[in-house]
Amino acid sequence: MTSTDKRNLRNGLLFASPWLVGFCCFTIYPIIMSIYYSFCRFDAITKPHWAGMENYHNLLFNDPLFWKSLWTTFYMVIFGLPTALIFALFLAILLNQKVKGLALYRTIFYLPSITPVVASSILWMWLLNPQIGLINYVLRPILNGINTLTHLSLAVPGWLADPHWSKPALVLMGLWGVGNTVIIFLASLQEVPEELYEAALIDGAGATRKLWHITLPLISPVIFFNLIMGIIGYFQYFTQVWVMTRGGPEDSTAFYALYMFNNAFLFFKMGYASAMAWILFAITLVCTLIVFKTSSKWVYYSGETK
Amino acid sequence: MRSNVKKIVGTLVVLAFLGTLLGLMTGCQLIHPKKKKTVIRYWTGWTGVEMESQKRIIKRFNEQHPDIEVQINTVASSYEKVKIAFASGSPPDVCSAIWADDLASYAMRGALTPLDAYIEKSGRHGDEYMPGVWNMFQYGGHIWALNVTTNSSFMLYNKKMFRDAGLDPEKKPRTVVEFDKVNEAMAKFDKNGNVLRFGLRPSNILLWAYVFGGHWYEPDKRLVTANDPHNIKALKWLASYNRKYNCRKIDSFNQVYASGTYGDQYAGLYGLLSNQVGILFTGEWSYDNIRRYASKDFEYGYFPAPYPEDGGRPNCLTVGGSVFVIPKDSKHKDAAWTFLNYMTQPEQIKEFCMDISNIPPLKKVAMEPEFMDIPMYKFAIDLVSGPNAFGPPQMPTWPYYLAEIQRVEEKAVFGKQDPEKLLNELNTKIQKDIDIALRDAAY
Repeated sequence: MTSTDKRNLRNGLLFASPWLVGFCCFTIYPIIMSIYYSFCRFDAITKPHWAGMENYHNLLFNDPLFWKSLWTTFYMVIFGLPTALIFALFLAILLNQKVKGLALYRTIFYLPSITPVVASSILWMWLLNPQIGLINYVLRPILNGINTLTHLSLAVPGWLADPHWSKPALVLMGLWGVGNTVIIFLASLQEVPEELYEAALIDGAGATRKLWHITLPLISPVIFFNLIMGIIGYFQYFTQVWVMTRGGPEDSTAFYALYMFNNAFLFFKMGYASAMAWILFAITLVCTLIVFKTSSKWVYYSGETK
Repeated sequence: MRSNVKKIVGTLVVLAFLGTLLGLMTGCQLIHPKKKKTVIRYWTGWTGVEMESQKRIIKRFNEQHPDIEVQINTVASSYEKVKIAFASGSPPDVCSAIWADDLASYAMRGALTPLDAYIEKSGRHGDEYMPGVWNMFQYGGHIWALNVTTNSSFMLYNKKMFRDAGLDPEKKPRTVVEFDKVNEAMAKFDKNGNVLRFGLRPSNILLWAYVFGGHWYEPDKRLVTANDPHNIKALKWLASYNRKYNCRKIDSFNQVYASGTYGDQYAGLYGLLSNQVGILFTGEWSYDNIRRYASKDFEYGYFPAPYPEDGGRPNCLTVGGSVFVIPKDSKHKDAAWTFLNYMTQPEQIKEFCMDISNIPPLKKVAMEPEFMDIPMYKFAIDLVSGPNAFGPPQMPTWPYYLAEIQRVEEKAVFGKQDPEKLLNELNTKIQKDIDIALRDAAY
């Protein structure tokens, strides 16, 4: 290393130091300490007491709510995320058509994403109210019609008041906030070269074939990106249930992050919560790695041949 | 030449940054070099009307105490911020953003200053407070907190709806059997099972266990008593409502009128005022809201939680709310007590409670005509100062226990699981939890 290199390194570090100091104190340090705390009985007020694997052992073997919250979270990742992605892609394709008033539609579908989550959650509590909510107001006459035609007795769902419907209610609510994903999809759709569609058209391909053989492969890196971000986001699902249900009814919306927060800040069990955080980290990591590994099978980068 | 300029600029930038950092760290001292006043940092969870009232009282305090300056800050409803402040080792000097439910948790961990010596030195006495309220300030033989306001809770009912249902509106249900009959008369559903009219589905096993003669914890023996036979009986009674009626439908019916939806602009009273919800479990704060929102011909009455005649407790209720503490790590404990002592004097408590339409926890203040002359307040004060007002158990794992109690109630009522089995399991689980927690206890 020449003296210029050294000087540059020093100056560079100095200039980056405000960020570096902050990053070390407020990010790296807490992360390292949380590993330590996860092996301790720690209430965040008194000194931690070393407890070895106790927290992990209790979580895995003595805490049914841990497993339930894990399942609830996986439910959203398995059902909520793909639904949201498909819906977002569908919207993006619609918004990519050449129709009148396109800018207006784009704005309308993007608007919900700039609403704060707390505000939109309260709004959705109204929409999902089983008795006076708009959703059931629309559903009721439809179901009544079906009932008279078929002699069934379908009833409107209880949504957040019913443990069987509370998770689907959250999936439904997730569809409303896909604006950001739509924007990213839309940008990638506009990158797809027009001549490929023209070539396909000459070969006699219909809309479905064009979608399947041209659009999807060409935007697959973006689908991949949204999938990874979605997995990470859905594993941390918290605000909506904190505002709307606090985990109820009957623990049906007791998400992992919510249970972790309760342990850390309500039950004085910071050590236990730290252990939960590291288990969640491991799970998120494994899921992300799996998606990464499989990505070579379905993600196409331009210039590549498969 | 150019490299020199660069060097100078670079050095200046770094210096400016360090200077800012230094300034931030020592800021207050630099700006106020000769500070004689003791600054008391006071954190509250109150906002709005409560905050305004507190600010007025504190302004007066600061004028009357030239050597102390109290600075008030609100954490709004984020009481977990207080926990983080305690964890950081620099909590406020006085804090009222602590739930009575959490008090023993802080006390057991040695995070608070015991107030016994201060209380004695200032000539204060425990019997100034209502006994149920005073009891919730204690843990491990010490006093850890005081408060400035309390609440009462009871049933408010709509007389017209009683009449419509063929009930005598002057005959208030005294026992649970009578209460069940009122609900039977009130209940009205449409052909889809939607609620058109209902009385009240009893919920909150925490309270009803006390009403049925049970309890949750024995502090002296450090014994969890979740499966007390009375608790089991109470939970069975709550669960019986989901066998007779569809409680999910009742809840979503009530949700329509609860605060958060329509109810907000009517403070949760809309269902009662619009003749659709027959009975509401509420408290004395409804008095102001009824005056504000009810139509002139609205007739209402109130009665305490009905109880079973064999072994139940009449006039039963739970108390709680925010309490004032002095953290152990406060730098100015004496000044903090001066402030806390001032806030809990009759004059200040009266002013605050009148501002926010609450009940004063001091017996002497509650007896004053401003409160006693209002019949609903007199009723509420008699309840909360009676022998069957229960604060949170003096138990350092209570927040966790409480959350688990609520889960058990859901499982029993909606999951239709066996109440006895659930409470037995809960008992074992919580006993284990408290035994571990008390191993490292400071108090």
